[in-house]
Amino acid sequence: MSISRRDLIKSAGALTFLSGFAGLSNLAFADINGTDKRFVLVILRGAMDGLAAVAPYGDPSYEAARGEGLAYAPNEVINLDGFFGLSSSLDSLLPIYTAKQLAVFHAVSLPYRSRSHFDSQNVLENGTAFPSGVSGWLNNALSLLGASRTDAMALNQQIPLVLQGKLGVASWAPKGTSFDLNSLYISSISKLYKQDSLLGDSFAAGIAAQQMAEASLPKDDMMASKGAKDADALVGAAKAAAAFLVQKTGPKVAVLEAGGWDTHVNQGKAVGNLATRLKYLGDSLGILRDDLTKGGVWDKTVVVVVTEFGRTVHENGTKGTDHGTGGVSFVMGGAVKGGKVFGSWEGLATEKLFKGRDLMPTTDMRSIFKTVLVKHFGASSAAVDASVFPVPSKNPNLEPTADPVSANVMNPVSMIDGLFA
Amino acid sequence: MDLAAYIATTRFGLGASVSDKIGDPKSWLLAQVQQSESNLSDFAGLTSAQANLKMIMEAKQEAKQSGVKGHGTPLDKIKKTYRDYFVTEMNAKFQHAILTKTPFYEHLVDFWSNHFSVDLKKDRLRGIVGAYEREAIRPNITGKFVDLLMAVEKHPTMLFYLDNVQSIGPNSKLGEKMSRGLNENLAREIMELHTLGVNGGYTQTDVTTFANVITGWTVAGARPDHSALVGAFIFDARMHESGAKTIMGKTYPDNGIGQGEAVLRDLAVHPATAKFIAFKLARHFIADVPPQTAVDILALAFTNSGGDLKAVYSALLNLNDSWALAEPKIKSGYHLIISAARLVGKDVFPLQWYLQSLNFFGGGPFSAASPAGLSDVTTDMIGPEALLRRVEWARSAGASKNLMGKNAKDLAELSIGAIMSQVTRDTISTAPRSDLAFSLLFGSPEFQRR
Repeated sequence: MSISRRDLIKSAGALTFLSGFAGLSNLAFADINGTDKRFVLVILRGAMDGLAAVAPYGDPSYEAARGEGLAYAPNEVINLDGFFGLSSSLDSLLPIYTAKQLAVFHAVSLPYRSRSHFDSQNVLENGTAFPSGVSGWLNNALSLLGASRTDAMALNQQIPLVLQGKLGVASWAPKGTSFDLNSLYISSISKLYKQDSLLGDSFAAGIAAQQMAEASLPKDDMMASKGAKDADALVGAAKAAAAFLVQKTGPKVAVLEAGGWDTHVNQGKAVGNLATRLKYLGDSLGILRDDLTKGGVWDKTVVVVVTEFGRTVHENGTKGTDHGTGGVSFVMGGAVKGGKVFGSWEGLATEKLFKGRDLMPTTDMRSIFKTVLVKHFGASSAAVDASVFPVPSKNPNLEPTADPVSANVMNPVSMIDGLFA
Repeated sequence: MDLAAYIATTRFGLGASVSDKIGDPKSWLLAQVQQSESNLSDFAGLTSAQANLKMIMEAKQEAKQSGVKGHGTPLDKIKKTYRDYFVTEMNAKFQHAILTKTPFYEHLVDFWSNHFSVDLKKDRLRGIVGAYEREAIRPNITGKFVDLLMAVEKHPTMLFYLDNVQSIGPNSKLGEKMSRGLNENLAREIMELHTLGVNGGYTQTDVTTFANVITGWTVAGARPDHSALVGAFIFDARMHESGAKTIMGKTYPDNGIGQGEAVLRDLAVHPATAKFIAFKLARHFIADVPPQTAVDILALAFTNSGGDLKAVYSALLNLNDSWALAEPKIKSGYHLIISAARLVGKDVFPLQWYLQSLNFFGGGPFSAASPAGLSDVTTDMIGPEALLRRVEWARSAGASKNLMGKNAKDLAELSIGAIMSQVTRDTISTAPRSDLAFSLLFGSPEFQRR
């Protein structure tokens, strides 16, 4: 692909500099599987309480099960469909739901039952039923779809597991204005990294991302960030992600992450620890929708929001919740057929709970991912089964359970009907 | 510097220093871990966790009683004091790491502090994490693992961090009175992260049972009726869920604090713990995917010695794998800045610069955001943005005026000579300015490695 098409790169100096790196010559025509589509994955680390984000207020056992400490009053919930309601802190999501561009999935889980953050996040990101993954399903999928190295970006310093693997990807976060791409120092040190097989590719990807950032983001957004740890950092990350995604030659896939969801203590209800974070989450998703719409790509975009598991139905001893199973996922975008709550609902009566404590999961999170890959990006279902969400060939050593999701571990991951046109 | 000396100073230590007197590299390392450190003068004048906790707990009590909140109250003042005090503690830690003649010992303090990770998720922790590392970790890393484990799990910092101070047995005296109950956080993480590892063979029931066993393990509060030392570890029987408990098939009679101690003693020497600790040490010092034979040897050393960490370190240093440099490992941000300072001397960078640098890397000490600690796996450490931050840090480090008169070429040979590429060597030695040469050295791909 010829250099002259990279019309967004400002200076000749940068052009010359970029051309020194192998593999970046297709920067101009970054696309995935011949489409112009976008995908944003938001990983909420720490197990967000799905029953608090989307409350099944219409469930007859809701108030008794959640108890006074967690059950919302009617005015603390935004009705969605007469049974489920959004936490009032997620008010930014209502217009998106009303416009039928937000699909809510309830009672979602991974096929793995350890309730360990560490392990479950590994499963969420590696695409198998086991936590021993060293590469991410999204990286595998992007390779399958013929993506190039500049197609995916993590809005963070490090690459999360979901984007680790054979395909090189970028990461970026604002690092301050003293960083000078055009300095003698950078051109000298680039020589050192160019010949380093361990670090060379990562360095090159960092430089390319910085060039794009300098071309796409307003100066104010370049002040050094402290590190996207908690939900408040999602807002800045969403703005930056949108700015990159609307560029013709920019990444098509972005991954955002936020922690702080592990509300064992003082979770709160309409106000409190969780509510504050939900507000940032909702606002960030609203920013994605607004900015991607302005940039003319919202109709080609899917955003998926996931967390490693839900939390206990009942309150624990410290005004919070402990690790659970069934949780909530969001799928939104101009391309999505939203405006409803997906998934089958076992209910909150004690005899219907998983192990008497957790929401019974009925949708495998991987189904959501697979449906996006097949319906949005046009991947072949068989190829996705083979290389992105492979299933074990012999009996897995999972904790014995009767729940529908892990009972299905030996079968190919199913697709979800009605999520896309 | 030859390869063995490089490995000793940089893979096992915290970076070469001009004042190192190494001799035989293996013996040099072994000698550093035969006993706890004796020279702790860098930490003179620092406050114990108990004393700092007493201050904040009494201030919280005062705030509760007076109902006055916000600016200028004793509690607000203490929170501000804690922020400054945290910096004081970290600066002492940095200074000690830069000057220490036992850098392998120091590296192990960092390893264990990360294994028993605590992060600053609450204000109160800011005032006591430094003390936690000094009191629970630092003196105990060359003894038996059980003693290290016991010191950590009884330390007020860990009890606050993982919420055990709020965990009350449902049928205990206080449980029946109050509307609060059990919190499983500490029990789970002791099993999953500190001892057995997630595949260690325990079940959810074991976690809940263990949580009940350690109800009562708390910190003495600022209550008028409390005769105990405020801010210190205390076993509060009124919070304890009584009765014998069975964990992983063994029944532990209820003898108050003895019940929890007995469980910890068993966890400390469990075969799964031996394997998990062996794996973590091998992953940290040998390779991201360590050879199974290496892990097995370390696990055996652990088990045969009853968990004597000296025996495990000795086994580690006697492995051929430890001296082969077969796989790369990357310095953590902390290791990177300390190695730069050890190389050029303590007086080059101002103390406040270390914490600023770590914050620029995405978080200072005690900022892991998960009780699992910071990852030491290469692919988690070399994201494009993370690398560019190291490169930017190196630019500003190289620009220090205090480097004038020092020879970047010679210091490059001392630190990374054993693994330096010709391109790196040439670029550094032909750099048109000395500051550029130093920036190139600190930012080089070789200097990122250990």
